[in-house]
Amino acid sequence: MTPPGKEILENIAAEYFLRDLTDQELTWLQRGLQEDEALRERFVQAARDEFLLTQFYQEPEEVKLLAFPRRRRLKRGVRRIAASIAILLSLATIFLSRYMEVSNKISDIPNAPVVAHVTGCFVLEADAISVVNEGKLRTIEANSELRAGDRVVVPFGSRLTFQYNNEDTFVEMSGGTFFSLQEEDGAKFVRLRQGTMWADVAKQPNGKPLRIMTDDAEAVVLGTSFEISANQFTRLSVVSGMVRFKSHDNDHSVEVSAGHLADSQRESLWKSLPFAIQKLYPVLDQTINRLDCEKFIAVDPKRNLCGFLSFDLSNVRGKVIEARLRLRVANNEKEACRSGDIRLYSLPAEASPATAANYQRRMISRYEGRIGGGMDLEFLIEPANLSSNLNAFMIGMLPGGDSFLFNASESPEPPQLILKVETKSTKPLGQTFTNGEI
Amino acid sequence: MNESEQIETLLRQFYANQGQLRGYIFSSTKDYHATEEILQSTAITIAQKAAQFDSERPCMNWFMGICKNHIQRYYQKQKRESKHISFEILDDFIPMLEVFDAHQLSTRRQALESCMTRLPKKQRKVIELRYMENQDCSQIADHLGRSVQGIYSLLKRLKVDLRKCVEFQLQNREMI
Repeated sequence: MTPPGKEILENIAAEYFLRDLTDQELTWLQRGLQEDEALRERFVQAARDEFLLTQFYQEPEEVKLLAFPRRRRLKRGVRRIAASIAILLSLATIFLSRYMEVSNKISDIPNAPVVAHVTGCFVLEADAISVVNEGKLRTIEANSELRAGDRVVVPFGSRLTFQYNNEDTFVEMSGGTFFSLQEEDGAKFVRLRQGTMWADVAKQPNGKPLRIMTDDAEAVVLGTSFEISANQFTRLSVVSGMVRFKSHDNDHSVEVSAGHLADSQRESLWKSLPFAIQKLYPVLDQTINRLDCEKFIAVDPKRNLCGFLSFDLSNVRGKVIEARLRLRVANNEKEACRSGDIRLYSLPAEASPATAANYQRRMISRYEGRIGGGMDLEFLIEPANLSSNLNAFMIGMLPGGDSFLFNASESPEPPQLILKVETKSTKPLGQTFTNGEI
Repeated sequence: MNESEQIETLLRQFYANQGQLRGYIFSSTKDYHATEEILQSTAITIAQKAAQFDSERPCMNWFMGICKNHIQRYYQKQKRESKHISFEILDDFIPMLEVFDAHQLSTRRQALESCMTRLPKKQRKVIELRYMENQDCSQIADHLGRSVQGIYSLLKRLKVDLRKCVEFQLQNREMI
């Protein structure tokens, strides 16, 4: 058969990403790509555009899966730092280690000193929390030891809590994290490559603060309590006390005090901006197509069930800096895990559960993967997607996933829209307010 | 170099070349999510097998070898024939696949956002069906009552228009 002309080859190159080519077309395209540099360029452009468009629609916001640690009581009157650290970097890492298989048969113990021990771990079936150290691979279980130099991968949907030896410093790693531990002369370092981490830190020895290093920033614990969160960049939000925050990109360093935050990349936020946390509960939450379901919000593509949530932001004063929608996966089946592609859509304010289907919806956040019962799913929402009055959202799923039940307003852990709001308040900074004016 | 340093060095190299590898995987799988998963599986394999790596060899070739294994496993798992451009040809593309670098993609994505708002509603619908709802061209054709070939043509044209719009936006930004 005569090879096709240039125009047809360009068409085949463009359609390569839209359909499965025939064997003949694939042969022609491969020959063309070997011989024609312009066609190669077209092909790469088509590949990039296809990837970009998919990413644009499929990954609007980074979504994180959270499991909130309970505060623990002091044992020996040691002045403690209550810390919450949330680091979200590349959206791609959300899939970290889902397909990793680690055989216990090859487990081995390295010689590095033990720095901490596991106090709790939750692993979904067929997953494992794995550690590499000194070239040896092992899996983590309850009561396992963690050693200096350990590089730990916590699979998505799992979580790991551990306690540093001889002190009341607790750390919790959520699913999708990849971190390593180091200890030098009593100074602790956590290198958080990707993922989310909380810490509850006892006072550290003088001159040996706990350091948490990310790719673009570093947090150094100076005193009492703080919180850090980051999304592609690192953000530090101090609830009380003082933390020093250093950016690796611009060499800036700032001491962030209670009720203030700083970003690693945004110059404007290096002045340590005052903020307050405001938690809003839905003014309305229901299951679309099943209005009699009050305790749960059901999402099930097979039965065409979607969630509907509406929040009133009219009492929020000040600029919203960060917004997260938190949903608790109902724990009606112990440790049962569900999986699917869950999407958060924005609807016009006038939409209701009965009329939601009539409106054009816009996907503003998404989560794909597994979640265990009793875990919290958080959708990070770009503040620009929120209006100052009523905000209506729909939660839907793509076909093929399991059904989900989320706790509704009637349940003990109802949905929450958690806002970090810039404030000039005279009230205590960093304070949390619920459904009221700051 | 000890094991820890070896892993650190290799992962740093991996992250530096992540864009090219992303393009390499996507050109083979044509699947966004599979690409991101294979990329991460590759990172994990690199960390696990760092000790086996001969540091005299160029690490990019080793990374590509790992990617190929994961791509083949992906097709086996899917239980379908791997109808993609051969690895031998794709190997030559590597320098061109820098366009998949996260920073470059992010810049284009911002421009794309603005271009999307200018698309007429009907055209945007087609793009949404394809990239938001994951429908293939025959499903879109059924949905809209058009021919499959018509949808291919429309999507190709829309992608070219969007590309031009993105290039224009990026050029204007540079001028500013």
